[in-house]
Amino acid sequence: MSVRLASALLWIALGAIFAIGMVSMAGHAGRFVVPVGFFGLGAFLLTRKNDPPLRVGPVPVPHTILGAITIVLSVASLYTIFVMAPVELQMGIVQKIFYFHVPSAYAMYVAFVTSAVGSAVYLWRRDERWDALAVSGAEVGLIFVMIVLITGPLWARKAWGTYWTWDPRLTTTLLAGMIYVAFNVLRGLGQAGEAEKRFASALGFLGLLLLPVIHYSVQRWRGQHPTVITRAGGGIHPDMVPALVIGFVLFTALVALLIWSRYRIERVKQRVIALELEAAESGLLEEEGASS
Amino acid sequence: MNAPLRRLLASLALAGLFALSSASLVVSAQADDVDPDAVEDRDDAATSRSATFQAVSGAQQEDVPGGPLLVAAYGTVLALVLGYVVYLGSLTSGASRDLDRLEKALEARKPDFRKSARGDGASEAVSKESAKDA
Repeated sequence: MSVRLASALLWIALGAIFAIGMVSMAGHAGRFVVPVGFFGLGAFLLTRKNDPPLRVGPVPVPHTILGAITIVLSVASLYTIFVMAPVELQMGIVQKIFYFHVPSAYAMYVAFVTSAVGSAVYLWRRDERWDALAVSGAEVGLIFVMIVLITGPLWARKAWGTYWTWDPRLTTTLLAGMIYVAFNVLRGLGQAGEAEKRFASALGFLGLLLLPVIHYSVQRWRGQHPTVITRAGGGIHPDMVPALVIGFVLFTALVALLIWSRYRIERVKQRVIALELEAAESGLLEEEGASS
Repeated sequence: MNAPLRRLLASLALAGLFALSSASLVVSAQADDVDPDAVEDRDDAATSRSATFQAVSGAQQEDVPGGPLLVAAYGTVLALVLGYVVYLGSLTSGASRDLDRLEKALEARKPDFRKSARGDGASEAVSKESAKDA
């Protein structure tokens, strides 16, 4: 299969996912599928570009702009959370964890889906750029799953009276985190060879299959985790909406920025590994070792 | 098994997995129309835990102090994000240092190295070779 045909099929698949998400926008699937399609397309565009510069930097202008937007959004988010949003009646001030906890979970989904897309395409095409994307998504996703798994129990201590229960959503989120810990450990053990890369990619793709389980666990199985933003009930006070919306925008920018940054570094690391191989082939490393 | 057939089978397997995961999302979204009893159970499960956040004005007495928990949560977010940014910075400087060292060493050995490396990308050549080997 030619690369062009493969690219076209990938575009069609991602476009279909995006279209399904748009059609079912009002449903739960829409909220999950739209960012998946959006970031799938972003990932495809990112890896479609030619090789990054051989050196780290200069930082591309859009990257700098995204960084500046993220900083501005951080300030705006903290202002809306702590100044504009009211204190919640039942839980008090600790409910304000909600404004970072939920967007962090969303950012976790985005990062892990990015990693899974990178892993799947790497398994298919053996292109180093997609491998770099898979590594970036898995590592950044791990940061957000840590945020979710730390802020959640802190909130639960007040809301449920305990830091942790084996609630379906908590358990499946922990499991997803462990899958990507395994991915990162596997890739972090020295220079990954082709076999390690393929195994990690399969693991990354396996993680994707778990994400819908996490998302729907709160509806399918009984547990303690609240459902606030659903059609089934609940909701938030209108004065709390701006803080949540800005939180989502902030974490979207943050996850994109971190994945982009990590991707650029991974590409440079791949370049270093290629040069080391070249140096080893030309006997340069042996000479360096002998002289030192 | 020859390479094109292997690629075709791998592509089919990937497409199947994508289709399965997409289908699970669509089926979940459309479950309301398919099985009312199942949806009732699901909605009961979701509704039983549904919560409405309401606003209150003024300071409230709390059994478990929420302030320290809130500070710990936001402190954790700040520490993790800033820590990761610092880690990225160290990765960048490390990779940059290694790259400079290797490029200088290779350039000293092969004067036209930099030109050729920028032209076609040694990493791509290596990755293609490794893909062929695999």
